[in-house]
Amino acid sequence: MARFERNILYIDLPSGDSSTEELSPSLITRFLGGRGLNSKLLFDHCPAGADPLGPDNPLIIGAGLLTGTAVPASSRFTVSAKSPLTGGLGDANSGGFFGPEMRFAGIQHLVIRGQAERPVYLLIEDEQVTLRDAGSLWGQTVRESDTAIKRELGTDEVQILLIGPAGENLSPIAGVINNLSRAAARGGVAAVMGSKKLKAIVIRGTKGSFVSDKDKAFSLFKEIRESLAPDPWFQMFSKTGTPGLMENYNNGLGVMPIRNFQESYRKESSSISSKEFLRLFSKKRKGCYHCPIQCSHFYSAGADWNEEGIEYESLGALGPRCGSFDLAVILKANAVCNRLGLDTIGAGDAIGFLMECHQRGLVSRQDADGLDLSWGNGETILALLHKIAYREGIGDLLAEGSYKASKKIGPEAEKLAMHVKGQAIIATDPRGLKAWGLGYAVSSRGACHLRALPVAEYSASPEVAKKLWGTESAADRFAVRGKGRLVKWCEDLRVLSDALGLCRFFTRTTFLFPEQLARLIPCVSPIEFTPDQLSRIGERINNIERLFNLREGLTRSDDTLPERFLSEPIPEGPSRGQTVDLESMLNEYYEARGWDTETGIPSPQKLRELGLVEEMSGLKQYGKG
Amino acid sequence: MGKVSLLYSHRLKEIAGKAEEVLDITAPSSVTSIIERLVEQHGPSFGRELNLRSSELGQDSPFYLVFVDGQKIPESKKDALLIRDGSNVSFLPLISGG
Repeated sequence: MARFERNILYIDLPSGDSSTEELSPSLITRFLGGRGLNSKLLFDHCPAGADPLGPDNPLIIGAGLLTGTAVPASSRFTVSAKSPLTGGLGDANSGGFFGPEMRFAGIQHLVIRGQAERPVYLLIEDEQVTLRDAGSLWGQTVRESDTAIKRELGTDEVQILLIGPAGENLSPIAGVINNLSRAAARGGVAAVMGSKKLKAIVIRGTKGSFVSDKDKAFSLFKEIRESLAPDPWFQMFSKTGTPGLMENYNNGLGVMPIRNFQESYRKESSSISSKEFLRLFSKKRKGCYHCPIQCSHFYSAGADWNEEGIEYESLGALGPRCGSFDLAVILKANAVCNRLGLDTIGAGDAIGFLMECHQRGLVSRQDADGLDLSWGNGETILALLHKIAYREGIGDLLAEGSYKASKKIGPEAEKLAMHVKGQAIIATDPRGLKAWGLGYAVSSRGACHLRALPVAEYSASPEVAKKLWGTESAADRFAVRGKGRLVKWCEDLRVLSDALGLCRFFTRTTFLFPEQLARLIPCVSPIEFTPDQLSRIGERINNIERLFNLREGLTRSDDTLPERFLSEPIPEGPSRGQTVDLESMLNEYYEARGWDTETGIPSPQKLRELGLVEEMSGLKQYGKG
Repeated sequence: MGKVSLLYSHRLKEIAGKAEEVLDITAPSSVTSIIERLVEQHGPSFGRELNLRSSELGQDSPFYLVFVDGQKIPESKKDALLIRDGSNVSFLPLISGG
């Protein structure tokens, strides 16, 4: 049986030196791992005011406490840094096989400091750590680099995390890619990797996975599989993956962004349904490490267009948001993003923004290098993706993301940038799902649906809502009462998945709850947790992320939404007439969190309660109030 | 007389052989009575599909959620709430995420 081994590996890029530190039990019991411990390490290692693209900003990669174990769906890892997109905390999460391989090498967290003088890649083979020249890889696509590295090493038995041209060119809407198509794409972490001239991290671990009590563990895992298999949710999700959400979010709820959120419903949208995807393009299902759901697909959109994916978010961002309902074009655009290392959400947002600027006469065809900026023009969408990644022409502007691009175009354009804290909003319109709007506004990494993922606002019964969040209206998608408590509750539980390294879809129901997670952990870890301890850890992580952002100067005024959501009603469909009343939800959220409702600063009492006494020093100078 | 627009998705759509249809009603009708008519019309497999149960927040829940004019109708109100002329009724599977 493998030894329980959890280390932090520190790499200094300028010197090439590395050192290993065994993770202290106190850090694990306070932050677990993955996103949780990454956020603590970022708080400790990133000096206040550091330039996100400068040498002082560390790049931190963390596997979850359960990543790479025998626990089902334990593939996830998180990449963190100060974000060049938001100026606050940035992180991105991915599945695949890279995170588990870290654990097989005995590493739970990697902290990469400084900047290399020339392009390098990092090779980790258990304890052996080397920096290798990546001069010949610089400028290559993700696929080309992946192939070249494996050829150089003479083996396919490595896991590779790498950036494409977009990350090299310091685009804050670039993504870090592993397994060719699995992206940790948000927050601009790929630009941080590019600023370090770090093309790739290649890892090979041979240490296996720790199991405390084999019989107990496998009996529990069998119970889990037997409960998942007959559930129609898992059956349907296994078949369709996230593209199956298209019908719900468009036809059913009317919250699918079209033409940069000018519309949120299209009656005729079957051309981009999961049924069409499965019928015309999907070749076979694919899953991450040790996953019983297997929700991904290999697809082919023509010769040279064989790829893995697509997710609902990418489908929405690169399709309807840019006015396109041509599935073949969207699938090609998704492939281009993976190959060039772009965040599909950030890229689709930037293109949709540009097209609306053109619609309103703020950007001409000439400004856009002669491209036809009509909504849904597939050739333009594909051309713009290349221009963004290589910062060519108009692409140089869009590579900064819609928010920064809008600042350069002018005040009228600023109204069209659909972002929170500088990060693009995802493919769900919050006017028809109020808790999602609140979740976007308060998310520590800028607009994000996964921080809270408050699906309960349309899936829970009124009785459950009353019991958990104090009011039946928390389960009414158009109501605002109870949404502050709902979002706080969701954030504190969802972050446990990120810190443990478990997939959101596995932890969507029973294993969302600390009582069940507390049963899982001792099977593969010598450290045990009570449900109360886990709940407290979830709250602690959200608070340290808040402290990081306050230290960087973000305030309550940054917890907001684009004006369009606050004042322009959805014009058609099942959410017709809806806008977001954010202020009352925000107040309820701050109260539920124990944060000052005027400033959004956590109270000293709350921080003491969470054991964040050290981190609270200097609290008075945080934020502008 | 009145008309109610119905929207199906996923397997319900396959069983019904259509994504949407219009149902005539002679008077305001409960969700339950509308479902009974649909099962009569589309057969027992339609009823079996609509009766599927799933786990949500660790609790037993209906797999298909019913929305009337965009508002979710809780199980506890399916008998009481009356659907009127011009309403839109959607049956959506619970699948969720992003």
